[in-house]
Amino acid sequence: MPVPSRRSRTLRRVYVKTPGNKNKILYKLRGHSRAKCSSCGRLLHGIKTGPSSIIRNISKSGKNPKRMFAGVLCGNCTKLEIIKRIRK
Amino acid sequence: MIGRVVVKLSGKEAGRTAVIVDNVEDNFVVIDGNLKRRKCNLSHLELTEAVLDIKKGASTREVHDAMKKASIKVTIPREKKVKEVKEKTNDKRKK
Repeated sequence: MPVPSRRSRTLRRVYVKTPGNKNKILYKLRGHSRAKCSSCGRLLHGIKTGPSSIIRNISKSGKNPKRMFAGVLCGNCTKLEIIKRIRK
Repeated sequence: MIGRVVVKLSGKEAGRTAVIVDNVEDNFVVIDGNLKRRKCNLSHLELTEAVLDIKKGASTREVHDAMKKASIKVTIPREKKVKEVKEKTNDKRKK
């Protein structure tokens, strides 16, 4: 039996064949989805993703850009959004 | 162009209002207001209809005053005057 922490499915399992022709299981972190722009769906730059234990240790300014609507809209869509509000 | 109220569209100051103070090149202007005075490309600005009465190359203080007159909020705190520190006199001891 594997160690109790390895029995849950939080870690991804990778099956590897060793040079000695044995099958082994590697336990790796699962991939995390990247942030997307909510209006156009493009991938956002400069936003850290990963398990919460890693993101917790990044500084507040290191997680997101400092712009208005940062982490929600891409740069081009913020431009259009601001223009729309001004022209009203 | 000078005195035109603009809104910045890109960068960390996106969404902040400013006023055009000077022309640098055909496409670049100097802006001041609710941000640090800086040179800016016109394609990064959205011009509004409002025009303030400002001289060319006006100081930040003059720009802030003009903005207040036109009832535009000034969110950046103005620089305070440094008070002159009075030198302590030792008159009491002499008495």
